[in-house]
Amino acid sequence: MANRFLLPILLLLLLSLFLLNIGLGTVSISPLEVLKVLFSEEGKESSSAIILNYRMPQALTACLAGLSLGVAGLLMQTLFRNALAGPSVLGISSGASLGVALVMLAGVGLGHWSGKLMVVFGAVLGAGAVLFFVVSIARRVSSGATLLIVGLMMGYLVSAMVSILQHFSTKEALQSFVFWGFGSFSKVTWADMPILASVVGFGLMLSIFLLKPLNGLLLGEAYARSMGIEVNKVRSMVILSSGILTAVITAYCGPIAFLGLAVPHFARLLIRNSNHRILLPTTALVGACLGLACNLVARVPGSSMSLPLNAVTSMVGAPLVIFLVLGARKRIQG
Amino acid sequence: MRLLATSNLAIGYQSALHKQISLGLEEGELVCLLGPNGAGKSTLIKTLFGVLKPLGGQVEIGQKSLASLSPKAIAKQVAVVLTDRVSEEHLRVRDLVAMGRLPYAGLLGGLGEEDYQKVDEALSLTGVSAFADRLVGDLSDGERQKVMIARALAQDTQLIFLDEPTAHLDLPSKISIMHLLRRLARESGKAMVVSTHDMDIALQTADKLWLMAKEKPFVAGVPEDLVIDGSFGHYFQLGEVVFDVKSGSFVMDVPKKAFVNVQGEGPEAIWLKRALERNGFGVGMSAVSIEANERSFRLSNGAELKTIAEVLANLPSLFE
Repeated sequence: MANRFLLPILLLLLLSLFLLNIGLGTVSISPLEVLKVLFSEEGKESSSAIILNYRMPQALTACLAGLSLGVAGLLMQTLFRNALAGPSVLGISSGASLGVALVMLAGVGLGHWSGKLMVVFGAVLGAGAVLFFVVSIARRVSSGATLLIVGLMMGYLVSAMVSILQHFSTKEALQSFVFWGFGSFSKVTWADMPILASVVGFGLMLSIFLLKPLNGLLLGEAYARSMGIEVNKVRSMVILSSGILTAVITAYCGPIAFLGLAVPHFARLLIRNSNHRILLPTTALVGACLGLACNLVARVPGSSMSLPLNAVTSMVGAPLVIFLVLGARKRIQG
Repeated sequence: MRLLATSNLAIGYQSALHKQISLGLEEGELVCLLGPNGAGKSTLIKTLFGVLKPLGGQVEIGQKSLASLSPKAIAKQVAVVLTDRVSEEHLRVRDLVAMGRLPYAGLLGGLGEEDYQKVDEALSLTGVSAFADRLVGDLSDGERQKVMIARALAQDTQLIFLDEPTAHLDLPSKISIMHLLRRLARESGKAMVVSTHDMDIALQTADKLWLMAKEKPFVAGVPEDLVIDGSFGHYFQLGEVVFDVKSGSFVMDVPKKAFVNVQGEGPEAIWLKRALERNGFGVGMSAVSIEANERSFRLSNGAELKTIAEVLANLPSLFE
């Protein structure tokens, strides 16, 4: 089976993308130089500063973001049995946006480290508030479809509040909010990394304990119940896990579009298997690769300009999904 | 051994659809649950495996109250085949059947040697081993239903409830599924409850019938008893459609145009009678008679005809 070669291929891809992320940019650094900086003390001081202080944390962030959003999206798609579900369907990233908008409207800029911390704090608080609300609803309603509607409406509601805030904000505050909304993997420093990594680790760990009920949910909630799965409890756990992953990435990188929706589709089409024991790790790997790839494209290697990350994630992701989905349809029908 | 029993069970969502349901299910029994749409068949099934709370009364599974069992413990006693369609495309038959082992799996969903053995057993018992590696999305409806039955078998329970497993299937597939269920019940000692609309097939295969209809009490019994005592006809009577106890089928109760006397014993006579009844004639004492022989029909006016079509065409002239 092709699946046997998939893991080594994906790992190799991840490694090469990681090294490319470190090597390519406004200043190109040769692969040899990259290896020297990483594994010996002999590298040039200028390269070592760029690599260690700037590109390494950015590449790691891209990995973590792609992985987290991919897994968060997969959790939502399975929970709602809806291929169009993603980490944003429950309004959690909108919640983060609201928190950030509140902080920025108060005049806090991104320039200073305290401002950045406030922004992260605002995002976590906003996402957490929506998450808390959705989980408490999830315990009460019996149908996933109802919950999906509540989540989507929450998203609209919160976005509307953000619009109102934007309407009344100063030009400068509005501009920094728009920039935050473009998304970026470059704002995470080594000082932030332990927090980001451990929260992502916690979210992933939760999702690993959900592998079994998630498989049961593939047949729908009624079948899951008949196999002894306590659907309401599982649902809250799934939302919590997906919400934590989405919230922490949105807080540090801004609302990253599309990755969470697209990554699970790539993973499924690659392995053609919905068993989460295989699908979830594949999704995580594919997500990390796609995060790195998008970061690379957004940086426009060799030039001094860069593109908004959100534009890139959609422009890379959407055609790929269309291509893969059409290809898969053909295979199934042919 | 009694595997399932209820006493004074009341079922429904907000208000009770049925009260005072008392039923029992023995080892190796195949029960067909019959009733018109909206009679509460699915509601009863959902209540019996704990997805719906009873509005009153008790369900006992293996001598234990259902309410006292954890969802996992219930899952080891009851498996179900539901009407919910599985829409997952990228799911292999073997993986779907293996889901039946979830109640026994470890914390992370890992399966052991015994689990894989049960899965193989279920695949071969239902005759789907040949396409164990195919994707569920590529199966026909009949194959898919067998796979869902295999999943229920892999769950290794004493009871299996199936909610309309033969709906949307063609007649041969319906019969094939019902015979599969009957064989499984006999061979494994599992008790099965099958809700269905196919009364003919139910009469042929069920050890017992459970009859449900709106505003009528729940009735259980051996099919033939329920036919003879009139319950069967009573539950499904719909305007002019009545159950004919002699033929065991539902017929339109319309006044007969005229009577025809049919002579003969072979298949020609049997099918001629059906054709006459379908066309509004009664079969009985009459001056007009038809002698049904092998491959020929002799009418009372002396005409010798080859087919029933010709008989029907010539029938009006006999009454002139």
